[in-house]
Amino acid sequence: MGSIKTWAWVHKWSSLICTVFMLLLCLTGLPLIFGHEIGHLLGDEVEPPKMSENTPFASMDDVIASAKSRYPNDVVQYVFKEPDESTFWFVSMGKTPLDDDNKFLMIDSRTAKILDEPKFDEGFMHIMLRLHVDLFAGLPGMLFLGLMGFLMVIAVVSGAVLYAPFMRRIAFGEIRKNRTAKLKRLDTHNFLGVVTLVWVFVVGLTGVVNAWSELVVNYWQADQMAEMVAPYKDLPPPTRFASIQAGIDVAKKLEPNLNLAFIAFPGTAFSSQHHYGIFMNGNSPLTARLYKPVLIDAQTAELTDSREIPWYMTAFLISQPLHFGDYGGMTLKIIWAILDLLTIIVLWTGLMLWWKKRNQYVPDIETRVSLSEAY
Amino acid sequence: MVTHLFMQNRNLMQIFKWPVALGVLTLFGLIIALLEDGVLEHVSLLALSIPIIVIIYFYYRD
Repeated sequence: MGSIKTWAWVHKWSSLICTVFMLLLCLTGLPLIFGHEIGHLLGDEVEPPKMSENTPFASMDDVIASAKSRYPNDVVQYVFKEPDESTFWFVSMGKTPLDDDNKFLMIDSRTAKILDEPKFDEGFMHIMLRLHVDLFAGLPGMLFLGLMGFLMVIAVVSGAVLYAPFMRRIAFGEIRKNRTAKLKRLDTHNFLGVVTLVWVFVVGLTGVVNAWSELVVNYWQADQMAEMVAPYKDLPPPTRFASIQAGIDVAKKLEPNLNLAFIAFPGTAFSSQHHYGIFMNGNSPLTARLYKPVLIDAQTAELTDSREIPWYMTAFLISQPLHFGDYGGMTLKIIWAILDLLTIIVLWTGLMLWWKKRNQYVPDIETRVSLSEAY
Repeated sequence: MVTHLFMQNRNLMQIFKWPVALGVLTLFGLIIALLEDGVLEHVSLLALSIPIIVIIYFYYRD
């Protein structure tokens, strides 16, 4: 039983260290699953006017001109959209291309009119998001939560190993409710834990991958982006900019089966000083995530380079939907929420099992035997 | 509920049979929903809800 003791030690300490943070992540993650719906309910989200399906889209140049007319002294950083939504664009602007203190404009994609100026960086959902992502501590906070997630993955694996010694004498799904509170808690923890195991493992592991996102993107820039823009390295920054719509047209000609997902303007993290980074995506839940970058010379609107994203970006981009649960409509969101609540029960019963067990004499001989086997 | 007192020690195969089956079902659901639209997406969402149904059934069966 020596090895079981080791596993029990691993399970106890990996869980104890991460449990408080995991409870926080489960609680803050719950509203984030329904972020879009909650935004609608709170009336924060402006609906674009209804127009016929065939209404043509405005030129991206007009969309940008609209944004610039609102903030003539700022630069455009990114143009992006919501998944499955083609009636409006979000445009982010700042004092410089890398300014974090940025403003957002919601612009109608058909009329190029400004619809709203949403505040993505305040309010209840923003607090939930920051607590979930980085504890308001930036990259160190992200990496810390990633480490806690890694401990949770270890707790899940060791928990699966420990499941066996506890289950030698009881059937799958048996909850001994009429004996001691402790047995009921133990059985609940083991049963709920083992049934939700794969989901918790996947969401935990993809959460850890997401915690590395900034570093992964930085590496991609230093690796592939730097290679693609190498010929421009020593050139002075452009003073005259070509039409962004012309750039989009070039990208669409190159990838006729893909759609425009987002645009990174010159000088931002996803482009270079000299380029429009045009990111295209597909239609399925998976290909919608796997962006194809097309780099367009910002001065001439001609194609510079376009490459498939490397494996580590693919891994990172696939881990996002698997963490968010946003790829199967409302049904999947509800499943995500229920599994999240069940995970809270597993965390709580696990914490209580440890708390009550400290220095406690177990009166029930059979329990003592099964516990001593496992601990 | 003392049946377990007389129960033979179960082997690993017996212990992990259902957990593994439900785990495979979950993995199938998570991946297929990502790759497929349409009918298979509904099948995968059903697969993902089965572990939840199993939990509710066993927890409240008596």
